[in-house]
Amino acid sequence: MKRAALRFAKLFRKELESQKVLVFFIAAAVVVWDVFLWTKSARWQPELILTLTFLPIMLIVFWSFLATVLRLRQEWEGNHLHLILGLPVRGWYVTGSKAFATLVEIAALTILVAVCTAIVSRTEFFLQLNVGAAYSAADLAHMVLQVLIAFWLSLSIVITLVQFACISGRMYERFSGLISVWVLVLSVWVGVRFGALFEPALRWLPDFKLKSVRMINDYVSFETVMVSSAPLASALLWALILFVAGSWLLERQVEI
Amino acid sequence: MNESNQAVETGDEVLLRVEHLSKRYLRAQALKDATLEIRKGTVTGLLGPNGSGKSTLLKCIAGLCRPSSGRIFINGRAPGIHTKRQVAYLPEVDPLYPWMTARQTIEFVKSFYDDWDDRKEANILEIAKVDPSMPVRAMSKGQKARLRLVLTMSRNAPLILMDEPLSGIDPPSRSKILNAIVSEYSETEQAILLATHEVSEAESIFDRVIFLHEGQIRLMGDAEEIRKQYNSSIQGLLEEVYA
Repeated sequence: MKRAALRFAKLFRKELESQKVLVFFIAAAVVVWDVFLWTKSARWQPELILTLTFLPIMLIVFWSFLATVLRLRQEWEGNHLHLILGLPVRGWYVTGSKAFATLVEIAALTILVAVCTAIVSRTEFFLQLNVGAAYSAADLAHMVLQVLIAFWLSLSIVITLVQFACISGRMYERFSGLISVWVLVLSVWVGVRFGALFEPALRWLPDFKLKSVRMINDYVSFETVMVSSAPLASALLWALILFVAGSWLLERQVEI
Repeated sequence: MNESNQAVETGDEVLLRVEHLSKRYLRAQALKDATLEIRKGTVTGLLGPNGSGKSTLLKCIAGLCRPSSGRIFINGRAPGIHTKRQVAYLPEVDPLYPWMTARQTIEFVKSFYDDWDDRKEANILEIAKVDPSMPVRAMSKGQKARLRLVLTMSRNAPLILMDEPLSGIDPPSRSKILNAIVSEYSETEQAILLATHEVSEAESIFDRVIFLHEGQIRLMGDAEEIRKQYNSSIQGLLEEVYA
């Protein structure tokens, strides 16, 4: 067990090392963007600044897609697959370490965006909202954590779908890119159908309890919103199936 | 010349058995009905021109390629995760990560194999003159080939598969490396299947040879007996066969 964990850790570390330059570049871009917004904070509307500080989130979503493709692509293009597939480990070690590394990077980048947002937008805007008066710090932390977990789980689904599509495409010598795109589209379509089928069976799961902020003119109110967790749970189940299938393909069917 | 590729030698010490192996790619038949056995403690040369199926055969044995038909057994088991523990495979291409140093590469690979031998590693590092602190991206083709040799030869795996291990290495160093192979493996039960173009330099270490041509085994047998039978060196015979 300890040896298996050590081997997974070795693969995971390799994955982190392989993309660290790009991740640092993205992190630097986020910081530069927020410094730019900081310089404009005196002249621009606080609401606009707050909205713009969240823009790098789109970059993170894109990174989840790109990193997954890059991580698999490098193994084939750099002939590293000769080394990786020669290792006496199950396919899920390889796919899991790649997906986990991408998730860790996403988590780090999300926290960076959140911290930068808090710093850049800290001035009058949050004070005007008087968040502290309506919310306890624990409530606020709980809400932020729920949003982050939902965001990371959603991106883990994206990572798994893209990973499965990439591996499926690589099974073929020709048109592998085109096949990957079609497999991705098909996986999403089947996933939607799968969700419709399984959602009712997962309704017993507890709902997400989110507290949302509503602003009407200058009046700020906070309300509790219940969000069903069944769609996310069924999507995660579908992602798990594709993860197992992708890992199996890599271990048993992929050829060099 | 024995044209048969059906002959299967028998013996108690059989480590690898390949039965009627065929592999077809989209446009080419890489292997046709290849049957062979490798016994423990032997060094077998896998010889043939480009495209003769040497690399495909090694990849199938290493479990990186699925046969179209036929069977492979390594210590009685079909290629898979269990046989990967018993096979040390040196590919012809460079599979190393450019951002790792030689030491990081060795530590990475080492962590996956229980049969890693630190004494062998130190010995081969010295013979191959690999600088452990050197980043792979800064290495020449020859230096990368040496590092690949370290990764393969540092293991006590029962079966060693080497695909053009001397490719890119300068001629004066080749004999040293071949001597190292002989000294490291001559006393062990490890079997080596070595595919190479450098026949003249390597033929002295072969116990057995297999000649492949267009995916078929054209000749297979004891290296010394073949030399006697054809009154020619393996290199000479190879030139004759593929002329």
